[in-house]
Amino acid sequence: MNKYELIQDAFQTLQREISPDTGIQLDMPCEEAEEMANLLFEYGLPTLRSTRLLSIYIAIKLALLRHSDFSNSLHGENLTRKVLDGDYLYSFYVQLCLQWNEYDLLAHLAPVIKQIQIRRIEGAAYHDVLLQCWELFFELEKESVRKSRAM
Amino acid sequence: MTRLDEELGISLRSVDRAIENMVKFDKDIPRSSPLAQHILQLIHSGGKRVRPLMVIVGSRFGPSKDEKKTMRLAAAAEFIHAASLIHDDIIDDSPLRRGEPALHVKLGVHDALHVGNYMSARVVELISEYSAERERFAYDLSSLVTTQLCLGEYQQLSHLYDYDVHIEEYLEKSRNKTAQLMASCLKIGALAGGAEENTADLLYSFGEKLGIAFQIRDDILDFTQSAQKLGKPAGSDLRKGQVTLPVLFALEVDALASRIRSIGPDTPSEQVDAVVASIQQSDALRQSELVSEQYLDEARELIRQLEAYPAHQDLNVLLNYFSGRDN
Repeated sequence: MNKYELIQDAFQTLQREISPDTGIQLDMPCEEAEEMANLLFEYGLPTLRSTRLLSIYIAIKLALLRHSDFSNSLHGENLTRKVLDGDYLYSFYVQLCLQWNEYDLLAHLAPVIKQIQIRRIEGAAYHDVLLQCWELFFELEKESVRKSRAM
Repeated sequence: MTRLDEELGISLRSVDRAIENMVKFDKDIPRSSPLAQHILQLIHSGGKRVRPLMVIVGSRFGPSKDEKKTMRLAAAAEFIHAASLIHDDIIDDSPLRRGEPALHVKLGVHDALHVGNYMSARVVELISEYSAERERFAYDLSSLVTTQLCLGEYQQLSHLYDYDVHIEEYLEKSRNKTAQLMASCLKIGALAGGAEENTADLLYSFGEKLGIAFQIRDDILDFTQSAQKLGKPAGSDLRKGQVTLPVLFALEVDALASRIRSIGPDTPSEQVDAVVASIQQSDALRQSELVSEQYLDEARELIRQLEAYPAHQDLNVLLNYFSGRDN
């Protein structure tokens, strides 16, 4: 499987998991998921897990995108859907972590997702924070596997 | 009139302190920061703390007296509720909340939205911290995350001005939007208190029935309370296209159905006023009240099944509160 197939699989997995009642379309450009896909290949995770982790990443990225650009001209159903889509995706990433037994990942991601909200209120940069958080998680996981093998 | 917290013998001050501590002990925001101050102001602006009280009542059905854990969950429930209110106010463009300018009016939509997000994310962070008890943290988190609540909102949105919506769809929407969180509060409280699984399930069902009865009552109040008390014109749900239970019953009256069906987003206010007045005079409100009563009766039956627990009296207090007798 190459990077683009992984991204495509992750998008399809996420779209399947999202309730059709939401009407959410995964209209995020594939390029937004490329760096994370590179990271997954770099750490050599099994295909199924890579697909699931990338789906979780896309859900968070899409939540961030939906809760961006609230111009004054935005109102009515467009505004409602943007708010709701972001809310749904922020809670859905949690559900996906629980559903796929990614408890350690959730405990690692949760404070960072919160810090991103703080940064957004403060107008501080936040774009690199998410990817760095995942990279640290993979490093810690690799280290923990190495230690348990050494014992 | 006795307050709900007093009737339940719960110190609201302790609940408020636990809610405040969620912000005060967050190492990522200084206490003096505008974000912390906005949230603390929001907490101090009041609220009945119904959901935290339900968590505490639930905990009384178990043998464990780990008050710290219960209070933490109670505070988390209020945080989730408060965050959803901030986002509701943005969606509805409501200018006021508890008599004060709504948060998006004070801060703008972008910042208010992210204050709500911060509050939800803080709950996920705090609950994920007790990772030693994985099953518990998974249950608590899946109960408190708001996917169901969002689904209720989506269902409402996709049925705006839809006069062919079925009563089952209305009830499903109410279950998702309102009842699920209330039901979960009782259940996570019970599990935190070490209650047996079947007791926790009965409490969930009780909370769900109470929540649906509450939503129906709220939909009736939209027609019966004065504009002054509501802070908006009577029938405002219908004006926004929300087809609630009273409207569904009114649609069964031939003389009313075509007038209701003619209402759309651009209908002049005077025309809607006349339809609202006709619904108020019809039997639709009484029929809706009967459905609400039916849910409350089912909730009473569940209390009977929990009579072995002294805390079942607290469920009577909640039921009286939700049925409006003590409210």
